[in-house]
Parts: sequence; structure tokens; C-alpha cells
Amino acid sequence: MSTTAARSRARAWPAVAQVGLVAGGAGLLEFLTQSGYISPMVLPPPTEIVGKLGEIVPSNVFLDDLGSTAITVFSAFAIGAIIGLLIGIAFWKLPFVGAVFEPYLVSMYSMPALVFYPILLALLGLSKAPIVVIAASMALIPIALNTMVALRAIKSTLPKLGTSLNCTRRQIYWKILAPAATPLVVPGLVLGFIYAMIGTIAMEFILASNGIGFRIGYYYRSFDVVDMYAYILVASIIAIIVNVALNRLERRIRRDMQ
Amino acid sequence: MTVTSDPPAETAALAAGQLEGRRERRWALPAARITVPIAALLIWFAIAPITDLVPSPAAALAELWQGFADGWIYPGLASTATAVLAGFGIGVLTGFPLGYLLGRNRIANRIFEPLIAGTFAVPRIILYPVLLTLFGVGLLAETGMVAISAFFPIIMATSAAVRQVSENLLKLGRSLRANRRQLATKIVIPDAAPAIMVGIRIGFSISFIAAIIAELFAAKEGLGLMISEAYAALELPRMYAIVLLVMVIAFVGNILLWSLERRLRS
Repeated sequence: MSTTAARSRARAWPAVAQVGLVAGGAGLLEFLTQSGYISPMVLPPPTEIVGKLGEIVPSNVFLDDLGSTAITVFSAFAIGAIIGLLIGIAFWKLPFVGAVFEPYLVSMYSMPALVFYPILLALLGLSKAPIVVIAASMALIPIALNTMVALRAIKSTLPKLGTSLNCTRRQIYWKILAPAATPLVVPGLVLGFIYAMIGTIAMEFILASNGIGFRIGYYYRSFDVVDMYAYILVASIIAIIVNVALNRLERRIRRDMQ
Repeated sequence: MTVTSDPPAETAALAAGQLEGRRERRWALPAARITVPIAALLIWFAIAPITDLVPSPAAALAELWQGFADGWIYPGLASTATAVLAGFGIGVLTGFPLGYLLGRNRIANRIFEPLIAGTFAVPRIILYPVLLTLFGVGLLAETGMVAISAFFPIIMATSAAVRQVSENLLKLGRSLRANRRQLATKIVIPDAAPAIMVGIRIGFSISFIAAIIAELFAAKEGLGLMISEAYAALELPRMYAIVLLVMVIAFVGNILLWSLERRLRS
């Protein structure tokens, strides 16, 4: 009994230190802002920001922004996932095509695909469409690359086993290849979702008519410092929660599959 | 975190190798690769006459040429380059030593790594307004934005690279009575160098992207600002010209760092 308690305490100390660090940092900022060392025009006291957060979160403006951003992220992810999976499968089925396009796909990682945003704005107008296109194109890259690597990594004995057991083509695909590839495909999907979210918020920030990213820039431009910080905080918290939740999910799926 | 975090250069090489097995096809792969950008250019040529929103590639290239000949591109180019290089430099100078510490010190690692990794999905650009309120619109805020963006991939890659240095190598070093500094400079860093370079290359790409996004939002000078000005004035050839230039710079910078990375690997 006491050993398990000691062990769980030993496992908990980094979390305690992390909470302490974050709380200490917030406390220090609170002191510096309350005592006037930091002007409230630069940084309002953290308690004021958190108080504002309590006002913002139930408000209609926030819920509309959140809904708009969520719809954009999910549609971009859905499009990116479908195209990415298809590209990954095509590159695996047709190795020559894969070898031709792969360097371009990899270098799109580093390409500021985002600079196409003004072009897409000109083409598609100030709507969700240009954001979805950019975010989907960012999401599809890790999904395509991981799918291709996952399928290539499957040992050829597995489908052979299926053939010797008289599996149909469909059974080989759905019962053998898909489960075998899942542990490597899922991290690609997770990364793709995160890229879709980063791309969406960043594009909204540059130019949009609503959304969480847009609201941050909007409050910056209207000098509403407290609202601006509250929105930065809420956007960060959402991103952190999504990240942690997806990583847990990924670990769980990989553990179940392997 | 994923198999693609170390870009699949090897898998590309593998696939290329498999194909090269068929001798007659050896020239086919580079030839096919070159046709991809040519095809893209042809598609651009084909689309341009259909819509007013896409200028012809010739018009965009002529505009770009004019930019260099008349000199209107230089102030923006210089400003963006300054922000990228200064910010990226700060990112390396802070991210690399801190990443080394994080990789070598187990306590620091267990406390800070989850904190840093947890913020992976936070778009760094949303911190730009904070830097703008601190420093005002200008090069300083932009450089800060670039530095923050470059810092995270570099610290994470360095920490992971340092941690995977084999324990046997370290034991060997200690048995030869290497001191801390010698362990770092003669064993850990050389062994981790290729993986650290991956982080530095990604950091550079992200630096460039961050500078452009920051400039699209608010800046006094820079290529991103010129893009958004050209967009607002509907000077489409100029907008396409600058976007083209940004892509070429990003591509060349990435290729250079990639070849450096490959040299370290071999």
C-alpha cells in the first residue's frame, strides 16, 4: 500500500513542478502588473484576463467564432484526410509515381503554402473556402507520407498469407492491410488534424471575417488589450487540450493494434 | 511522434534504388521529376487566359525582373532577410543549448519537455500581437516572432537527438576520462549532429514562414507586406511575382540545409 503511494508520488512530482512553474509565472506577472512595473497597456493583470475569459466563453461572439473555426478545421481535416489517404495509397501502389512526387510533397512541408493565401483570397473571395484549401493542403502532407510509409512497411508475407487462406481482394485490403497499416497511419492523421488547426487559426489571424484567430487580430487592432489576451489564452488552451487528447488517443490505438 | 518527423529522405532513396534496379529506367526518374514543375508552369499558362484573377507567368516573371532591375524589391527583401536571419540566429543560440541541457538532464527533461511538447499545436503566430504591443510594429517584433517560431523545433530536436546518443559511447568517453566539455564536443554533439540538423532545417523553414505571416498581418517593410499591399491594390502580377520569389527562396534555403544535413549523416 505504502509502496504504491510512494510510487505514484514519485510519478507525480514532475506534474507538481509543472503546475508550480506555471502558477509561479502567473503570480510573478500578477505582481509585476499590479505594482505597475508592467503597463496595463502592454499586459493587463492575469487575474483580469482570466476574469474576462469567464465573461467571453459563454458569450455568443465566442461561441460563433468557436463554431466557425471548428467547422473550418473539421472540413479541412476531412478533405485533407481523404486526399492524403488516396495519395498515400497511390504512391504505394505505383512506386514510380511515388518516387517522382515524393520530394515535392516533402518540400511542401517547408514551403510557406500559406503565401498562397492572398492568391486564394483573390480567387475565392473572403470566405472560408481559401482557409479550408490552405489548411487541407497542410493536413494532407503528413497523412499521405505516413500512409505511404505504413503500407510500404507491411511485410509481404501478410497479404500472401491472406491469399493462401483464400481471402478475397476486399478481405485482404480491409482485414489485413488496413489494420496492419493503422499504427503508422494514425500518427499521420493526428499530425494532419493539428496542422489543419494551426493553419486555420493562422489564416484567420491574417485575414478573415470571423473565427478565433480573426478575433485575436481584431481586438489587437481595436486596442482591446484585455480581450486580446483572453482570446490568445483561450486559443492556446483549446490547442493544448486538442494536442494532449489526440496524443492520448494515438497512444491508445497504437497500443491496441500492436 | 511520427515517422515523418524525420523527413522520408531515406524512403525516397529506397524507392529510387528499387527503381534503379531496372537499368533502362535509371534516367526516367529524374526526367519525370523535372516534368512536374514544367507541367505546373504549363497549367498556369493554360489557366491565365481564362480568368482575370490569374496573370500569365510571363507577366509575373517580367514583374519580378522589373523588381530587381528597378530595385523596388530590395527594401522588402532586405527587411525580411534581416528578420529571418536574426530571429533564426536567436532561435538557434537559445534552442540548441537549452535543448542540450534538456536532453542530458533527466530532471529538467521530465519537467519541461511535457510543457514544451504540450504547446506543439498552439499556432505561434497568435503571440504576434503580444510582441507588437511590446515592441510596436517593426523589425523588432517580427524578429521576436521568428525567434519564438524557430526556438521550439530546434529545442525539441536537439533534446531528442542528444538523448538517443548511445550509453556505450558515453561510457567509452568516461573510461577515457573525458571531462564534461569533452563529452559534449567530442561525443554527444558529433553523434547527435545529423538529428540536430533536421531540427535546424525545420526551424529555418518555420522562421521563413513565420516572418511572411507576421508581415502579412502587420509590418513596416518586407515581402509579406508587399504581398498584402499588392493584394489590396489588386496588382496581381506583382503579387504572384513576390509569392514566386518567396517560394524560390524557401526551396533553395531548404535544399542547402538538406545537403548540409546529408553531409553530416555520411
